[in-house]
Amino acid sequence: MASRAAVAGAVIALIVVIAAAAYVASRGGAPAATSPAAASPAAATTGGTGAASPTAASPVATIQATATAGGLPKKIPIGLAIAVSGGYAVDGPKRLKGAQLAIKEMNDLLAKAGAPFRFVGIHEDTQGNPQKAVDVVKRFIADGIQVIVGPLSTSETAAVMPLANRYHVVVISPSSTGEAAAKPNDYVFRVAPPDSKQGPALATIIYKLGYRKLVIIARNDDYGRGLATLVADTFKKLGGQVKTILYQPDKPDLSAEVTQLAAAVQSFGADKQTAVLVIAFDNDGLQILQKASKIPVLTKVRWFGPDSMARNTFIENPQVAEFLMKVHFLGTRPAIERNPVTKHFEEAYKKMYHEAPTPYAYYAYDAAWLAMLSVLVAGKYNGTAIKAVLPTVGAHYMGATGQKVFDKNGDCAIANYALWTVAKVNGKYVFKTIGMWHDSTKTIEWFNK
Amino acid sequence: MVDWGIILYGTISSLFDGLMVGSLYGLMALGLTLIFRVTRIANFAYAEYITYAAYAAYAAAAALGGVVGAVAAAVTATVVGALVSLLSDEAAFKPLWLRGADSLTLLVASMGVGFILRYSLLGVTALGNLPVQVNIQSVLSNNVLFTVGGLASFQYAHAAAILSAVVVASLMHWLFTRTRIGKAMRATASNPTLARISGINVYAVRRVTWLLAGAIGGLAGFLYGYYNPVNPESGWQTLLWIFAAAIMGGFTFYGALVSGIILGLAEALIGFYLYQFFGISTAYSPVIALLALVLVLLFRPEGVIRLEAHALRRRV
Repeated sequence: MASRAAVAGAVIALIVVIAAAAYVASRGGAPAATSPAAASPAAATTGGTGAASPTAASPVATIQATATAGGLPKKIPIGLAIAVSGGYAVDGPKRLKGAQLAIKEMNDLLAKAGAPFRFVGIHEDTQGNPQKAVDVVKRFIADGIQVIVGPLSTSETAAVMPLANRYHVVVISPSSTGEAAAKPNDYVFRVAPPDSKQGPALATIIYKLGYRKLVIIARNDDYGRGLATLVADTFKKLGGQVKTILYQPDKPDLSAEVTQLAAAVQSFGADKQTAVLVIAFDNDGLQILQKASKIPVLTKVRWFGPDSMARNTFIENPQVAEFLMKVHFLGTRPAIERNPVTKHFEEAYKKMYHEAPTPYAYYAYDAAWLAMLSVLVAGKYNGTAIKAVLPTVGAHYMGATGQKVFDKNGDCAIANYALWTVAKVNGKYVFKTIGMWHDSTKTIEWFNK
Repeated sequence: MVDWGIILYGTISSLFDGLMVGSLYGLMALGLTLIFRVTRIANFAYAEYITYAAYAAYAAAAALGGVVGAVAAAVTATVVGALVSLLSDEAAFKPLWLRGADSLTLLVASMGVGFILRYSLLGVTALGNLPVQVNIQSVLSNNVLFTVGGLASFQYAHAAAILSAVVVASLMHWLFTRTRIGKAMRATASNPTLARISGINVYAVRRVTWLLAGAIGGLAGFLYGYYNPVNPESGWQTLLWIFAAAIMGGFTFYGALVSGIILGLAEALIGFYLYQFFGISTAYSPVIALLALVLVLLFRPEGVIRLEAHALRRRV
């Protein structure tokens, strides 16, 4: 009996303690829930060290943009909708680091100036998946974020475009170049030169080098198909013949597609006038090049590629690197017009992350800088205001990738392309820039001729 | 205008690739079938054993290199596949089974296990700053054995995959017909309760099944990785084909293997002819596997190729 009473007593005591705790907790939480204005200074100061580490993983809600009348909030969130898995598992993190470096530099600057506000980068992984990108942007919008750096791919950027326009949120993609996201008068800006420039440039380069028959193998997504169509249209207009092979990028094995490619090259005669253009990413690109290197007819013709083919994955494998040299692979990539900011970015990036940046990390860095500068110029944290000033800020901005003048679609208007190939230097395979495509004059400039 | 030379050599090339990829699908489907038959789990986590094994194979090949590296890679992949498989059963499926979980619960649990395995791998690569994508061919050369007509090439990877499928099929046949444990597995597969009453240690059978299925998946993982680059999602992306082959085979041991090969060949050949003769884009080729799956489920839900029944009945 006594023991039963003791157990009952303990249970009652426990219930009382829990009830008391719940009451205290509900009292503590209530004011914040009912009057957000009162809660905002507290929320802004709780993450005091947030400025030093730009990516706060979870407390999105605590740094809501609760702008004090007309001015800037103390913590200005910059959404980083950047994929770090899926097709971007390798390069995505490097681009994210570029954007985070920009935020850190800006905050150091603001601290020096004694400014009362700081920028906070809030990162969420979009996985390179349009649906996931939409989810991420929706969450950002719900949290009151007004400017987003990302997403990376054209499929994702095109998918989030309607949201950005409806809720007046500025989206700055560091690396989308595809046609599907080239729309005028929208809230989407793209800091890398668009494919509407790269496609015709590639076609003209291939044609000028004497090739008349072109087989294109491309990813069947907005980027791959879009660029393939742009190249094919221009190439046909110039008087050439084109065959296009599209493949599903997430298919586990692409042997059948490479066989098709070989058959198409053979049917064109595999002669001095036949060339291959491959438009791929990491995993699929490596598969295609690896398989192609084993098929005799594909080693007899010259290969070309766009910016997406300038990946370290390809030259890390000696067999593939040798193949790229054998077929005199020639690629285009947006020319980063070197300037003191470029040099500063490279040094700062290496110092902070102990690795060299990849091309689109430069653009991510510039995208983040542009986002923050536009917020400062607008003087308030509001998407419409940021959109209004961004093109002018861009035109007067000199970043790691040069000047950012935007065209009517909000895309980077200056589009010169570096021409690169693979070379062996001191026993190591490297990408070597051997020329430049000048878009304004439609001419190729070779560096060593 | 059709160039018959191209059709001929393209067909040969498609045959090589179809046989190779089909052997892989077949092996993978065989492991999946083993687990399904003995434990009644449609195991979605199975794809991750393949991925883990491929990574292990890369590590072994990179450490040793050459012929030794190739053998070590195959052995490591097989062992790692088996261990991950057994571990996932001991940690998740067996406890659920002992509590009387039904097939649907186990299926959902397998998805959970799959997610845990896949994202752990991503997490490990991120924490250790390791390369996310590995490529066994960068450390283990995959040379061309011979080429036909400049279009078709038969490589080490083709030979390894086809040979492995033949060897595994022979070993499985021997196991099922000549050994006590093999017969016990078949008995458990056809009627677990009766098997238990007859004195078969169903726990031991279960463990052997998971080890064996994981080992076969592991070997397939090495072969896949030897031919294609591997990332944490490689196994997951193959899952549709694995299930298609297993279902076409009616979840029978030999049926799975043969269906896998047929699926691989069909995809390569049909895709090639559709493009050559009708200009239908190769982007549609994954539809072939899906279509096969839907047709089988519609008209022959018990599977097209139920090979074990005829092959084995005589020996029982």
